[in-house]
Amino acid sequence: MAGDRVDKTERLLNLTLALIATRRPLRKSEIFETIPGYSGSPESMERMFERDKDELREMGVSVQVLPIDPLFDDEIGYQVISQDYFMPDLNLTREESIWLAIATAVLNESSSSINTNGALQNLLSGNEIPIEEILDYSHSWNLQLPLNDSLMTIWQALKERSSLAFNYSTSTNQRMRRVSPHSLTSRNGYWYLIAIDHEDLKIKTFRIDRISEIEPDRKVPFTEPPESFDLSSFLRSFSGERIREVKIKLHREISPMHPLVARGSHSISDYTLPVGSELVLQNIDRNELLDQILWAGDAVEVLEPTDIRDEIISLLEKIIEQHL
Amino acid sequence: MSAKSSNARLSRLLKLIPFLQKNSGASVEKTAQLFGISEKELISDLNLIWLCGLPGYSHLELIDVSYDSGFISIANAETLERPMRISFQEGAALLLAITKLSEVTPHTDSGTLLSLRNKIASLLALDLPQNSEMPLEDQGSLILPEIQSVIESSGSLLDIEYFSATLNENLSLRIKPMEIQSRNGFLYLIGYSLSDHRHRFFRMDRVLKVESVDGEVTGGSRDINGPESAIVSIEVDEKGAWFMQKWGLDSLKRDPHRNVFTGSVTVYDPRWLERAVLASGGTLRVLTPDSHRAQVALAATRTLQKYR
Repeated sequence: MAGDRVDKTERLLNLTLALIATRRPLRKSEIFETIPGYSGSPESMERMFERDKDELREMGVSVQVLPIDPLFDDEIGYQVISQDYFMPDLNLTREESIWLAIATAVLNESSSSINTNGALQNLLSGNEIPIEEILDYSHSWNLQLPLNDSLMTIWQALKERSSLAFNYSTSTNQRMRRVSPHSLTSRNGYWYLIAIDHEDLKIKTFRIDRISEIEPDRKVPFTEPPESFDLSSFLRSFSGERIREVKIKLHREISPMHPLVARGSHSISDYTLPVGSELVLQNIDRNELLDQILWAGDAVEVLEPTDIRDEIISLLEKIIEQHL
Repeated sequence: MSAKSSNARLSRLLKLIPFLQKNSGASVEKTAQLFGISEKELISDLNLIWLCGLPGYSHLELIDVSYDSGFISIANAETLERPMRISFQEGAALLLAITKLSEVTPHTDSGTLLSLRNKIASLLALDLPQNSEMPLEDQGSLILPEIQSVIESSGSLLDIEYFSATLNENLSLRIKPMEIQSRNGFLYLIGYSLSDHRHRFFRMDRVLKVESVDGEVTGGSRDINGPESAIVSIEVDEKGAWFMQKWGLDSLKRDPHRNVFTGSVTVYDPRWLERAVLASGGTLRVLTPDSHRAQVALAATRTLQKYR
């Protein structure tokens, strides 16, 4: 074997290229004849190939064993199917690729056990990227952002349709829950899991930040929601009363970035909305509306609907009385 | 060479080949940095790629690489035009960080982060809910990274437009940005304001726009001891549990007869207290000091007058 020793990485790279480029599965004999580096007795080439194949699979290169002639499966060959192997085109913009580098830096400094440096390089390799800027932003950020890795376990369970077990704490108690996850939703800045509780088979919501020690529950099979379950009406009742249209009047200039009006159709380039403007806000949560209108104080007046207007007046009267 | 290190090298080559095709003319120096290896290792990788290609292995099938003058070009490598897929675990970890960043960065940054989030989610075939409070428009925004660069360069100032929730209006200030800090799940920019010569906290998600300007801090700091604060005693009824959770009340006591809690909160700007009490809709009541109580009553009266 001495004399024509081929570097192992070279052999593996040539093997990968050949398995991706081929239009039909390659016979083992074809691989041994063409790819440089396979040498020695038939048994030793065989052992080499088995090890190479395992190493490629370990790295995530899915080497498939397929019949060479689709009509007869007596002769098999090897191939890497392009759709399985290649990352689809993401067309990352310059800014997106920079944010991706920042997200990786944020992960590296968190307690997450998953190293995504390799994934970052993979994602970036499919795009033309601003290399220097990415290097500038890849250093340590030290933001100390709290990352809730329960979400990762939930995403995986949603995708694989597997049950979950976790510890859930409410203001009154803390105990184990076993559920089949259905979907995720967010409300007032919190993430919620909608799931079927295996205890009573009812559909419930769980606030993600109250979940701990979450793991896949292999003991209990996944339960589908009943056919009568309607997610959109469930979400409507979960998210509280919504008001279709609210007309407000501005008594002071306010920023279009104000949470109250940011949902409207005003473009961010309008620097302020002038005094006397009347705006219509649509489809807004009742509690959120009251909170924001009152937060804005004398800058905003509700014109319609009258029941909201009356409620605000009575709340203000109550506050004045409480503080006299 | 052990299996592990040859794996690491092969997996790098499988990224390098598409990377060099998409980024033709990349420098040896920067490419080595991006892949976390020395320039010498990169050159040895390039020399190995040059030996590889498709069966036949003549110049027609071999990959052609050159790195004369320190810039790399590659040809005849169309078989590996794109990189390998990432694993679900890796993608989910990135999604986690991207989602969190989108919740704490300036509004326009969130638009760009959500566009990125959707791309990664579709890669993993994950159906993620859209957060109704988030913008959907991607304006290619990089406000947070810009602020970070100015902090690091430590030579320049920042003109910042900021939505102040306390004042309920936009502020334009020239500041010397000092640091970015995470607190209670939000990111804050701490800066020294040249407009009123004091240190200020800016909640990052309310930063509207920044522009770096040359200049330096002139005049001394007037608030070496920090802004003036008052300890305000507050009564909260059972509906106000969110307030205790969100703002954290000190020395909390429960009055068993009336089902209310009393506690205290440190207030830096009485205008914030005014708004928090109004927004509570009668759930919070200021007990002392009298001046703060009177100010809340005045604010409520002023607001009520608009309805009369």
